[in-house]
Amino acid sequence: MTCTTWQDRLIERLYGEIGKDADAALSAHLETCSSCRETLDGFHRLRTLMAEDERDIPRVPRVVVLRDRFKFRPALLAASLLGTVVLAGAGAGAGYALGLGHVPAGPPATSPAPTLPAASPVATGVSTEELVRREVDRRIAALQASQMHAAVSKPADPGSADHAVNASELRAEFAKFERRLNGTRAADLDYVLDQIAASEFRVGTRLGKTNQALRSVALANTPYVNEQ
Amino acid sequence: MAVPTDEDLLVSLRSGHAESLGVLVARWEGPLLRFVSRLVDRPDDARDVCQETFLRILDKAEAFRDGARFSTWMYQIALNLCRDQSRRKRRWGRLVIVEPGAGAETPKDHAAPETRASNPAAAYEDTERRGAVRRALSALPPEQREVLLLKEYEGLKFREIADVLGVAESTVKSRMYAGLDAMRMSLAGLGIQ
Repeated sequence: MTCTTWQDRLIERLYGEIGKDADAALSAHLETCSSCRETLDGFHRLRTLMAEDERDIPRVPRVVVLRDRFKFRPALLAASLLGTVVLAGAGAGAGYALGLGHVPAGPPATSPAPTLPAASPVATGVSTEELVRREVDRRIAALQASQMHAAVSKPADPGSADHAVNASELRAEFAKFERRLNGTRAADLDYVLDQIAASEFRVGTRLGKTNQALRSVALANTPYVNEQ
Repeated sequence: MAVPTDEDLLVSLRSGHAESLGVLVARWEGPLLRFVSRLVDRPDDARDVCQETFLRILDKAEAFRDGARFSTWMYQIALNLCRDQSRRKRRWGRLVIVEPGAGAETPKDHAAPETRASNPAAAYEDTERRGAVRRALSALPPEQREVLLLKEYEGLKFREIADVLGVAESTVKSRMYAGLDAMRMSLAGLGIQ
């Protein structure tokens, strides 16, 4: 067995990185230790074998292939999340306006509760705004019909006027909501577009820099001598 | 005009002269591919790792410490990428079957052509021996193989290998000893001395 204390010195000697004193000490040890001598000889032979195994490495293509690489962009992510939240909010608002969240009191039993059309706007090819408008018109018509019905059956009751919903007021409310919705949408769209433009600018700058480097790579035919 | 050192070129790259990368690639693509192709199984993977290494150098030029050696830094990046790739392969349970004696690449002709032509048996023996050395090297634990490759084929000093791997110089030497000893034993078992 090789003396473990000399292992580092053997390796240093093998690769010519041994100090003068350590070398002298190792030589003295090797005079008396056949096991270490054998190990060192074995290592020398092994190095010769390894040196024979120089792989035939194919020439490297001189153009570096660019790949799309994912980069985490918090600003873009925030913008996307914000956009999603706003769209979800807009959807919820539209649902509320259609009466899913709030049904005005007072429709008679004869009037059926308003419901959303079964088919989705995408499936029917009709825009959400159009569906909202139709639903509002339908509801106003139903309210007017119920008011007329109430007027015929109880003409002397003055309290019922408080519960009646004015069609023009409802239209005005709807128009106000629509304006607010459109304003929010426009602001969000501007923000998202700004973020996209900024991101494109950054990516473009980066690609320009990389392309310039790659051109140099492709043209670097002159073999330089490394001084080191 | 003095030839710029690698570190000069990196400083120049850092200050926005992208053409310096071309010179660095021209200098180092060969040694780096040789090193990486001994650490990964497939030549395509080796090329990918080399390309990724240079892209990382371009990306992270600002992170290069003044006074450090470029080659140490480059080998560090390449080694980490090789390790990542091995981890990915392990994760996906990919099985690489190496046929006995099938060196994936053409072995280089070291003997004189006339000797080989006149003595096919010797040529066959050479090929077998080289295959055995390669397999013995591949069978080593990664930490021993990395040290051996950096020393034997890349010619780095012990201090530089320690820097690349982030370990003490004595650790490098003991890994070196263990690796060489394991290879020596394994080849002796095959009658190769």
